[in-house]
Amino acid sequence: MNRFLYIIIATAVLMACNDNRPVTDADGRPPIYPDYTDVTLPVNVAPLNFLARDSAQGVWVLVDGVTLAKSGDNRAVFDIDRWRQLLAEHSGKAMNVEIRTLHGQQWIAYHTTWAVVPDSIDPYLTYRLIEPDYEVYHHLALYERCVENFDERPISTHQLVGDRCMNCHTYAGQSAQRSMMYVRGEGGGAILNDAGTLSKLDIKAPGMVSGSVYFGFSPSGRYITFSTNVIIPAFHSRAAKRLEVYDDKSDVYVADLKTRRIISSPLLADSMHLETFPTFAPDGRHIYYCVARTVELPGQVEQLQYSLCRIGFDESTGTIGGRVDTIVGPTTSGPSPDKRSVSHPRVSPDGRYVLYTVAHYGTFPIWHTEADLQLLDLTTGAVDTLAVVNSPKSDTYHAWSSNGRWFVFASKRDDGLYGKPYFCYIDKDGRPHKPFVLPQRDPAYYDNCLRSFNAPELGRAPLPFDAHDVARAMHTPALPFK
Amino acid sequence: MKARESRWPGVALLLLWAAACFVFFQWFYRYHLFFNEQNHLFTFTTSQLLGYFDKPAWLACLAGDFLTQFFYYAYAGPAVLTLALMGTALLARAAARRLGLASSVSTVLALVLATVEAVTFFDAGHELSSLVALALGIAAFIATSMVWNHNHWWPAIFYPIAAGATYWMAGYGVWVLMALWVADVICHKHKNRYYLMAWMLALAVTAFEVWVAAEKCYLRLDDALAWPGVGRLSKPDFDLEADLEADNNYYFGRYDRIVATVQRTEHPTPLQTLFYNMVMARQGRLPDVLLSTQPTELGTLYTVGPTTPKLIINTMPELYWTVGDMMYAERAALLASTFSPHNHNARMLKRMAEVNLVTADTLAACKYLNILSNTLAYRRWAVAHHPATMTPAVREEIEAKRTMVNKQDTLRIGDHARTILRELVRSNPDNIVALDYLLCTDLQIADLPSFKADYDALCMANGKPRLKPLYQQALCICLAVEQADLDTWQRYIKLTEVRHAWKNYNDNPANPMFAGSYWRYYDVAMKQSQ
Repeated sequence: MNRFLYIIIATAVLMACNDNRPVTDADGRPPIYPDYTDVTLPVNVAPLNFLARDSAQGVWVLVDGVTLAKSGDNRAVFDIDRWRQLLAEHSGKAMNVEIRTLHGQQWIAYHTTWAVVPDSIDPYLTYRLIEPDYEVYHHLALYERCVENFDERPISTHQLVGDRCMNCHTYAGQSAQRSMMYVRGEGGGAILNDAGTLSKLDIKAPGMVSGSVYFGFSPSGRYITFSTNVIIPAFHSRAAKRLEVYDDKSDVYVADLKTRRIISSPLLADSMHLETFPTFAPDGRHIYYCVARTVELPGQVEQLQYSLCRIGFDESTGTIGGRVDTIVGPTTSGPSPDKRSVSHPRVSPDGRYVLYTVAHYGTFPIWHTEADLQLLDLTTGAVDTLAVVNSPKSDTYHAWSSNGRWFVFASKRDDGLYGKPYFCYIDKDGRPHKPFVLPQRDPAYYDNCLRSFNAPELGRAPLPFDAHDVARAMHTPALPFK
Repeated sequence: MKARESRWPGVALLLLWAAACFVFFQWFYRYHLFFNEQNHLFTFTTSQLLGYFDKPAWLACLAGDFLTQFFYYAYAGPAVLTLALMGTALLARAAARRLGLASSVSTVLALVLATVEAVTFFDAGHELSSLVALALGIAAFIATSMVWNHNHWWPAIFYPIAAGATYWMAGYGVWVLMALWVADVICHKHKNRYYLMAWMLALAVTAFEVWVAAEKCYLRLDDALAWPGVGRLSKPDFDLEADLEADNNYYFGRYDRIVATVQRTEHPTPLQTLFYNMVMARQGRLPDVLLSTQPTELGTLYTVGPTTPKLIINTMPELYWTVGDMMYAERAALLASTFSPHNHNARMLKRMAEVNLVTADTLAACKYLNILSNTLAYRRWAVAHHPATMTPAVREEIEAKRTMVNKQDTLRIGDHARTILRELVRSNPDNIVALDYLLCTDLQIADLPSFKADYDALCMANGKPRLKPLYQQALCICLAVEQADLDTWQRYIKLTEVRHAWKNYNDNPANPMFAGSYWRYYDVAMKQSQ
């Protein structure tokens, strides 16, 4: 049987190699989608299946002169076992990739490289799939996808929790053993995953403007820092700018998940300021967050400029510090004078970098085409504008891999409408590499997908719960905070 | 000779039923089918094909969605539905015959079943996949009954496999299969012990499969049991059919039909009025006919939000497109698509493509055009609209629409009709559609101060008075309230017949000749508000 199989494979390879149609070298990048040209890949990523866009009647992919895939249409789909073997063999090296597209009786050959780095990316990615209006929803679900293959499963789905809004699944330090997400609406709450045991929390105390919205875990997982926001959706009259969402009120707090106590500080709940997007530093000694002076809204929305600040925190006593430091703001130096409003700060696991989004104004960079990522080196104060990473469309909603070498972010670079998860490598010198989009089994998947990948987060292991567990947790009473 | 005589009445009955079904769905209910099709999007793509395997009943759903795309076409849609119902009826008849029922009884039972199924299509949201699931369940029974052998045990193995395959391919069709097996036992008085064993095994396999589907496909148990959904009996909704007809006529540009329908209908529905108003506005005649129809909510625009009825949301992209507001046209289309049963809507994709062509967002437009180019019904449309292959007619339409769009950039909380319309007219004073909608909205809600302010700012200030009797009549009231001097009257009231009529109205407001005047409308509105 094995011999028979070998004969078939050998014949197929021989036929592929014996293709005697002429091959003409072409200049420029291969016309493929997704754009997987000259990208850096983790050793554990799924096959980069792609489409040839130039009306090709066939695609032939060779790595170092050896055929990896050959098809009679415009789809290059790789065998996952061969792919894994190839990445393992090329770990730490660059693959010379020749992509041939068939036109009539002639192959046009393009050349590119795939650099494979031994630094793995966290293998699990969670995200919400939602239509890009974001304000309204129907049939929502949160998913977990293994980036090493194409397995995807819902971790919360509308079918089991009613047609509710759900959002923001976030890991504690990329650990699947501790994470949290929200299921909104009547009887909803924050669903806390503690090593697979789910509980529903009502993280709200008197005086807060809303329940918790944006949050991040402390390193121990005992605390979360979160914002409360009165969120106002508004619409630009010019169609190109579409949706704007701003906070009418917002404050930042810390919640002790062990004692179910909410810790506040007047420095983080100042009525003259809007504080939001809090996140812990990996050592737990600081909370990074964004803050803006209040302005008349919506009239002065373009003056709504958020700075990146930090305040101390003591995990041993659960106390918030007494001094606020401005890290990036209107008065600090920076390479982008026109993009001063900071959002979504995320500190790298080694504590060296802060990755954040900048836009002209406001807190909703998803619809700001100018929204870009920036990388601040906390040791030198240098800001990298990540020119190789950003695009002319919105690039935002980022999260680190646990080794600090990779981050994922949502980019609308393809069509300006639908966000897709892109992975970017930061080498040991802090140099960013060209990002690539999450590979899909069907290379035409993104062409036909009518939903955005929203709030992607990376995790080290599969979550120890599923959508049924979330549905069961929804039937338990919410644990109150004081 | 005897057999031939007994067969013909049955055949004739079936043919008669098919003809009646086709006639009904073609001439009395075809817009429901069109609406059903619009809520689907069948693309010839691998991702859509693979998607059917995520849930049970993949074959029923695939076949149902494939056939639903023909509902787009007149005659073909009703024909497809009639054939599907007839196919089910013939299968049911064959199954009844296998149960040992007489030919005539089988025919009647089959027609009763087909009629019940046809009735479920009175509901605009009912899916063809449900009918296919039923047909597959019956077909599975016929297939299994052909291999059953009373003297052997081996069919007992075949039954559970058949049940498992039926649930996998046809969902709830498996319950039809199992019910027919039971009927088979009763009708034939089977005493074969293998039969019971086979049935029990099949039930166990199906129960396990349903449980797996619920767990792995993340379905509620009741959904998993009835997947892909069982139709419900409902009465035909001819009011909705009338609305959907107006919608369909507007979609295909048959404006004359909308006008004729509304003009011959004593009490047109709000949606018919909405489409009628849009047609009139496009022709610059909205102020001529405004008072002839019932006022709609919020003057002439609806508020779109999560609680807005689906049909209203579906019409909003047309309205915003007509007045030239691309922002809301796109958003309303996105909402309508989002709230469609499967989160996509072919018509809304077309609208979103058009909006992005107007706003020169080519990447976004191509996203939708590329999807539509993989469909049967919209492929040619997509090619005609693609920037690389755009036809001159489409280019002209897009260019014309570009002159209407909002060039200002303000931030709005909610879709305030007056703000939208004012900005559109300010961006382009020649946008008569938006101007008429604005002024007519003011007049419909009898807000004369707003009307006067809008008229002054958007007509008088730029030296372009809009001389329509309706506006002149409203201005008469405004000027009278202001106690304007003669010069002012002469500047505003250019139509002498209106000036004379105003005098006569003041002398005798009860005169029937003023029944259709704005003066009477305003007086009534004021009395009602008191």
